[in-house]
Amino acid sequence: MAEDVTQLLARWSGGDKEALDQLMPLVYGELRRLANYHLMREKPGHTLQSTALVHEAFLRLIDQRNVQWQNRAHFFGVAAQMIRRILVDHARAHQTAKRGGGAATVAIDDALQISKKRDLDVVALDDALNSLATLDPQQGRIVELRFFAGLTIEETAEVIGISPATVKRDWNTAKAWLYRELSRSDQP
Amino acid sequence: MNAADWQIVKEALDTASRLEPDEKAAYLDRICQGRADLRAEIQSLLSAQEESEDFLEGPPPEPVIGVKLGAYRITALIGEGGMGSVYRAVRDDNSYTQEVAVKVLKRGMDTAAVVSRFRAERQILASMEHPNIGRLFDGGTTPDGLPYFVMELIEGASLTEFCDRNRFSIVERLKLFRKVCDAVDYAHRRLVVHRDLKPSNILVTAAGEPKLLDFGIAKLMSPDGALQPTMTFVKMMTPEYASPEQVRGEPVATSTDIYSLGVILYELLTGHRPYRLTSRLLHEAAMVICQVEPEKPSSVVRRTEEVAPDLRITPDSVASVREGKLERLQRRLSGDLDNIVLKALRKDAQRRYSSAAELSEDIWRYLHQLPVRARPDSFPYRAAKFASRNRLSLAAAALAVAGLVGGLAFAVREARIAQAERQRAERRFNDVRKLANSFLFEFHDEVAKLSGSMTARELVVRKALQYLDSLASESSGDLELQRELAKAYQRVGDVQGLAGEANLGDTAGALKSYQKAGGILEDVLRRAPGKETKMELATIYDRLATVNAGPDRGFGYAQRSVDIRRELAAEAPGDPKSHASLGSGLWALAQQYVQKGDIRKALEIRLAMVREMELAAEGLKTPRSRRNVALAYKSVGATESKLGNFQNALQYLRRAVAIDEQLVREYPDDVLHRMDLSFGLSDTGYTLRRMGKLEEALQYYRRVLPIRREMAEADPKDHRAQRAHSTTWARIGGILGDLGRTSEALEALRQAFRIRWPGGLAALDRAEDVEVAEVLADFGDILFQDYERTRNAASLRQARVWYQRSDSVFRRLEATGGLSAVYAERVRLVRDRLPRS
Repeated sequence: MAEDVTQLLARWSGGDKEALDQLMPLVYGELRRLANYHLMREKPGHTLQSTALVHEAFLRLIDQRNVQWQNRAHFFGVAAQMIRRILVDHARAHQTAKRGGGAATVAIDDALQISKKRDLDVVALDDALNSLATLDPQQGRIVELRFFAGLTIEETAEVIGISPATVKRDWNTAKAWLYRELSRSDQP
Repeated sequence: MNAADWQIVKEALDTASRLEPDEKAAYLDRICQGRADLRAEIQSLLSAQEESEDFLEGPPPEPVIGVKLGAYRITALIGEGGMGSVYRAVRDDNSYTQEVAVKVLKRGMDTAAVVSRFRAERQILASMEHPNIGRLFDGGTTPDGLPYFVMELIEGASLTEFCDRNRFSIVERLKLFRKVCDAVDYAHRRLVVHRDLKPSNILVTAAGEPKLLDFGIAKLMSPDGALQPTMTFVKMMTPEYASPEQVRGEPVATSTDIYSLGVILYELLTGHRPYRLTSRLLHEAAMVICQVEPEKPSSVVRRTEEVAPDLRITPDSVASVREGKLERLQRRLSGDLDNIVLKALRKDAQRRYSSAAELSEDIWRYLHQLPVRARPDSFPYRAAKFASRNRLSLAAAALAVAGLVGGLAFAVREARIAQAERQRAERRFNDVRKLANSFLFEFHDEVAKLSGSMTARELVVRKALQYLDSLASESSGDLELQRELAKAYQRVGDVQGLAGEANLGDTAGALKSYQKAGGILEDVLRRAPGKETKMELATIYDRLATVNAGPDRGFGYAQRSVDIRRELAAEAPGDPKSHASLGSGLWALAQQYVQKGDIRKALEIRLAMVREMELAAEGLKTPRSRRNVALAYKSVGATESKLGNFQNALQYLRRAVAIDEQLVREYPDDVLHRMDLSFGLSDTGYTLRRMGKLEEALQYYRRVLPIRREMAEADPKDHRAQRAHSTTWARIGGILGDLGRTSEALEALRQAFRIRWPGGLAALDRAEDVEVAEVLADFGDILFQDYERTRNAASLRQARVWYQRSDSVFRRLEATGGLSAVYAERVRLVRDRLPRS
């Protein structure tokens, strides 16, 4: 399987659009499997470690003997999209389920810490991110890599092939824009 | 907005965020060129930017929703706890929609054992049907092999939260608590022990029904008797509710749940927990749970406790959700309820209530004003406990004396453990604190007498500081404790570097310790102004002024000390003690002005000090207060003399001498007064000499001499006494020289020299002592004076020999940087009289 994915990546970066369609389910499946595995294992208070997940998937899926710098960059790009898709799918399903029940407080444990991040509306974020990508496709990719794949500023710069300073600037302005868009959608 | 506009906005946003507010507007005007829509867009994003700093910076949420476990599908995460995560789930077979809670245990638990124990217990757990116990429906393992339990979904608030939110009175709380007891008793009669009872495991529904969750779950994870699961237990649960036998890893029985019920009842009634553990280390938690006696509920409600940086439990916060008034709450709790709670909480399982039903019944008795079964611990019992507690302290003390390092480490560890639950067990804490303090001080003083003990003494101080620092960082709530801490820091500072005491010579360290003490007390004073605290603080500032690094800082400290003392004196007009206190503060402040070289200001302050000391002595009439008056007179006299106001100086000095003479007559055995008298006499002699009244001056110095000789002979090792004796001879020699009685003068100087430096001239070759240089120069002066009078060339030659000797000592001092600028004049005089080479 490692060889398949490596070849598909190479074909895709060579301009073969079909290769991506074949690549997606492979990467998606692996990421999902890893996500579930990690979720159960993580300590409370920690949530999904996207970076670790993507790196692990990379090691599993890519034939390390033939790996090139470009392969890695492309893979991260794909993986970030995949994680975004996984999360949005789950969030949609979750929202449907939630509409049935009321929002009562349930205390379970003194020590439980429900992260504020959980309140983030992933579906709304996804919509806003699509709008941002129409204004500035590069910023869309930056957010995908930073937030969904958990890459650092430097790693993101490496994957896209721009300077870290640009990534930082675009990331900050993108956050401001997305934050405002999401706050707007909160209002009735 | 289109993509091109966005590029402008993006650029502007980035630039504007780095501009000062006043530059920002101008910049935006320029960049937007009148386009109001762009301007508005940028403005709105700028404010979003401020709030969005943390936005999207964390990891994205987890995708676990939708996973199927058996017949159930996860729909939402409810929360995460020590044991694992709890999810909301629905039956997925569409047969009927029932919502349940699913608890998935974390990896790392002994999965196989948990699952097999679950199979064994499943029947009994599933059969428990009680209106106040959450049902357990099912269990199994996830596709990843993690155990999970399907339970009744209960929505509500925790027991304590529910009662507080509804401002339940004590009676209402007790009624609700009895339902909990009844549910626990139901389970106990089926031989199911909960083992992890705590308010968060008891939810109260909107209808006001308590529901106990997780019955039997804890047992699945910790089999009886083994130590290992206990470690796990402490890690994953809230040890504040754990019983002594549980933390010791002993087999648990229904009495364990009785104990936890006691903790819950304690919290329900008082808002406090019997212990607030800050350490999760098993042995430390165990130490507290097994040894510390909880404070009575009726008295704990008076406490203020800081349980988290943003959460304080205060008498007000406790009373306001219960009986309204603190006094009323205390009255309700004291007596029967104190006894009931403490009986449930006894360390010895045999001495608790024998069943939850019995506890419930005793509460029922209380509610119906019938005599309760619970009695306070009997006196013999408490006395026995006290002895066993103190045996521990004695053992620690013995250990410490035997082995300094090991012993102190023990004390410090004890103290740390105590620190973890300090607010609950203040008595014990105080024991440990006193123990540690006395270690430091009694010990240090003993050890200081041994030669080569420096390292050990430093270690003692270092350990004490570590202990105090850790205590200080966690005890900000308790003002009394803060004051104790400040006192301890002060004493550590004394050991580090208080002049006049056996100290480590670490003035920098002493300064730091005194500053800590001062900081703590300033804080205490802000929160609770009080006379004692002010007094303590003033003392700290005096110390700070004494050990200060630079003269200006010392000045500030001394000034603050005076200000505080003045406040105290104003608060207690006519109180002689506060006059005495202000007087001693002024004394230190004047010293600072002397060091700064501002003699006039020093005089002004000393005159103020005289008034305070006189007022103090009028009221107190003690020898000490009279002595202080004399000291004040002497200090004014010495200052006036320096300023050339000799008549004033003599006036004050004579009054001082009169007081000291009277004290010497009254207390002939007290050497202190004779010493005091000698200073008054020598200052008078000094002044008279400067006035040119040489014979009179000589008479005064000759009266000084026998007193100084007595002191010097009494303790040959006392360097200060030797020096004072020597200096007297040197002064006499100087005056005799002035009088032209050269040979007598030289003899007097030889006396001075022999007393101070018995080794004679040979020992002076490498001397680096400024006083040696001075006495050597004194010899030169007398011979030079003789030469000036007689033009005797031999005197000049001899004078030059002495000046030469003096100069070589001065030079050595200069080379090592050990010569103060004060001596510049003396050095110049010596060098002027040396032959030019």
